[in-house]
Amino acid sequence: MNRKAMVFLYICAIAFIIAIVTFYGSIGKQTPGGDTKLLGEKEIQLFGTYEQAEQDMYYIGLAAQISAERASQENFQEEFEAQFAKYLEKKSITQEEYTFSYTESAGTMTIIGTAAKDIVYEEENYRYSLTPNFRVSIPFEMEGFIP
Amino acid sequence: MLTRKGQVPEAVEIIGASIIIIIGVIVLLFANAEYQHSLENAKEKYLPAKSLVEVLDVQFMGTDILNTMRLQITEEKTLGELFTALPEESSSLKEQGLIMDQVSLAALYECRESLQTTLQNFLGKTYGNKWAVTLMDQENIIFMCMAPGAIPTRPLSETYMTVPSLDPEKDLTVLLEAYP
Repeated sequence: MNRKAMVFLYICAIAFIIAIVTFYGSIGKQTPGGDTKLLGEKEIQLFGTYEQAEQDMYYIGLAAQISAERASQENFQEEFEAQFAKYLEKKSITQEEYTFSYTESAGTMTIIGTAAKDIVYEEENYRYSLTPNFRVSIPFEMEGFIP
Repeated sequence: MLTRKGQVPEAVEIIGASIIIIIGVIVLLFANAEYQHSLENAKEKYLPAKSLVEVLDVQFMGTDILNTMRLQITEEKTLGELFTALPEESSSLKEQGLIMDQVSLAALYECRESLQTTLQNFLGKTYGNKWAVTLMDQENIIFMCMAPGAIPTRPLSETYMTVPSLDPEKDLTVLLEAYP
């Protein structure tokens, strides 16, 4: 092979190797979510946040159920909302940010809570939010309830 | 071997090509080693050795504990709803034959056979007879239920969640443990 062509070939080969090393060296940084040494780490982190969000939803629903069951039927609405507000003090949403709908029918009181604000989970690489609406039903014997 | 003027001898070409091939192989070996290292790390972290519990179940116990709380125990109540009433309404749960006073462990109450069977039917599919559900008020163990024949030991994996109690000022903690 011609000596000049040989030098050019060596340069091309070395450049090609450098290009491969540079590409694989920086592939982690180019990946959405950043570099990681563990396979599926980000996905598991996201699933953990989802689990936490579901558990918070469950907590709020159960707190609403307890509040409804412990409120007296004579002064149901005020007592329910006051009790529920105490439970929400530990969460990042307040009772004032809820709109409540009360429906009494056939001995059952159904409360639907509609949240005006989302609960947000801020993580390093993503933001997860959910609207903590709930619906609970309890036995209710007082007829003619007017919210 | 004869060479024309201005040309590289074949021996040099062969040596050069060999060096480049060796460098290429080394680079590929490094890439492969990095991949294997990443895979081994993931295995070590997420797949405990000799575990009977499937890898996903170990990592995602949060879903299991939540579904356990939603388990219907009586016609009116789920497990989570029963837990919120402890210990205040324990006498009612005793009368229903769900719980009894605990004497052998530090917990105040333990499950009766009916509740244990219901939980075993649900949790046993994943954890066999190597699980325990514990309800705690801070450091105090209010209630504990273990799989039939389970021996309490250092858990292979565990998860917990918070549930409200009848007192809004105080939350309870539910712990789900999987034994090796």
